[in-house]
This record gives sequence, structure tokens and C-alpha cells, in this order.
Amino acid sequence: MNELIKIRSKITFPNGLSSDLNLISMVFLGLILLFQVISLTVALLSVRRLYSYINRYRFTESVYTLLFGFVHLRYFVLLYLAAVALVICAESAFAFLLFAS
Amino acid sequence: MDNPSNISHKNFKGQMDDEFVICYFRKHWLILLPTVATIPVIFGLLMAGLFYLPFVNTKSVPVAAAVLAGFFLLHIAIHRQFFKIFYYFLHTVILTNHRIVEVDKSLFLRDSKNSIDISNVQDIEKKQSGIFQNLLNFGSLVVYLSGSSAPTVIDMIPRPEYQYKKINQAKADLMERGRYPNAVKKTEFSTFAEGVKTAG
Repeated sequence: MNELIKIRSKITFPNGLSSDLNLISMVFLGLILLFQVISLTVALLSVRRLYSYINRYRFTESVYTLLFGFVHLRYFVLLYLAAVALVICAESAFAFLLFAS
Repeated sequence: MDNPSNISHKNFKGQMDDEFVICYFRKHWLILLPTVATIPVIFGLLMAGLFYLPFVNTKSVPVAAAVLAGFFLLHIAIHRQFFKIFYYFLHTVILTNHRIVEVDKSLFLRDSKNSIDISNVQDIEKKQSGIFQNLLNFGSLVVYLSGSSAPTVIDMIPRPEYQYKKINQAKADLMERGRYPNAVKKTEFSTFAEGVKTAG
């Protein structure tokens, strides 16, 4: 129980931070969450639209999705999702550091 | 996504029932090279950010704000660069038995089509000049239309010689099918020429 109170107090009143800085941290956290939600929504929506278009109007798959003769479109889609996920992870780590400090 | 009701038997939006695709192409990959080259930079920045994140002084508001701004820019850069790549894949020029269609489609902002009826094509010019264009085999096609309308230029075409031949072939096929009332069919002309030869 004491541990729980300790954690809660740490989140509510981070060590050594004034109440103004606490508000700023909350604003930062809000912005980080906003970026993450918007970015993830845009990424998922884009992939969905891309695949719905490609499936609707098909060309020969092997020809249609190749770039430089060997790069498939799905590699780029995977890279895109990985990049978005990586930024979200980095932002979450930053948010954690912001509150843990 | 693979719902059968969503799958059309057409290759592009607005394709007619008696229209079939002869060939299609995108712009040359060279225009995508700068975009693709930035992707390793983006991933490098991300990795560097993750590595240096524990050393960032998060108690300093300007530093934290700068890191946040960096993340914001990174989000923008990722979406922008990948949208460009997807646009490259979706932007196609399609040659059918009736027309040349440029499908200018992007994920959210563009959905335009520009088509040229093959019967309106008067002349085609293939342009390929310079070391790079000849070495990497790309160029542009200038399509002159009948009437006084300005010619249409399709640039950054890969293998322009092949596309040039295909368009000419499509035009010849169209003539042979009798789309032009005054056109002499190739078979008829051969018979006529054979007759002249025999008579001679």
C-alpha cells in the first residue's frame, strides 16, 4: 500500500518539480498522445485505402507492385508501419522519462 | 480488405466494357530516388533519438519542447515521404485499345484522369536525349493530336521505345478494326497489292 501511495505521489507530484512545471509536463503528455493517435490513425487509414484501391483495380500483382524490378509495395507498407511504430515507441519512452525525472 | 464485392474486374476506374489494357507504366524510378534515399535517414534519426533519449535533460522545458518538436517533425517526414512512394505506385499511365489514360491518383488528395483517344492521335514523338536518359533508358513521349489542340507530353517514361511501339501498334490496330471509315484495312491492301503484282 505504501508503495502504491509512493508511485501515485510520484506521478501527481514528480520529485522536485514545481506545480507550473507539472502543468507543462501534462501539456507535453497531451501533445505526445495527440501526435501518436493522429499518426497511427493516418497510417492505418492510408494502408487501408491503398490496399482497397489495389484490390479493386488489379493489375498483374507481380508487375504492379514492383519497384526497381524487385521491391514489392508491401515492403514499403511494412517499413511505413514500422517507422510509425518506432516513433510512437520513442515518444512513449520520452513521456516516461518526462514523468520519471 | 479482400472482400469479393470490393474486387472489380476492371484495371482502372472508368474502364469501358470493351476496353482492355495493352500495357501500362509508371514514371521512371529515378524520380523516386530522392524520396527512397531519405528513408534510411529517417530511420537513422529515429535510432539516434532512441539512443540519446536517456541523456536528455527532461527537467529543462526548452530542451523537452525541442525534443517534442523533433518528434512532431519526424511524424510529418515519415508520412510525407511514404505518401510520395505510394503516390508513385498509384500514378500510372495505361494504354488500352481505345485510349491512353493517365491515372493521377494519390491516397487522399488526388484522383484525376486524363485520357487521349487513340483515334485522335495524329503523331507520336519519342524524345530521349542526354547521357542519363540513354544510360538509364527513360525519356518522354510527345503525343500530337488531330486538330489545333496542343500536344500532350508524358515525361519520365521508362523504356520509351517500347511504349512508343505499343502506342503505334494500338493506333494501327484501331485503323484495321475500321474505326476510321476511310481507312484501308491492312488485309485489303495486301490483297490489292497482290493483285497488282500478279497483273504486272
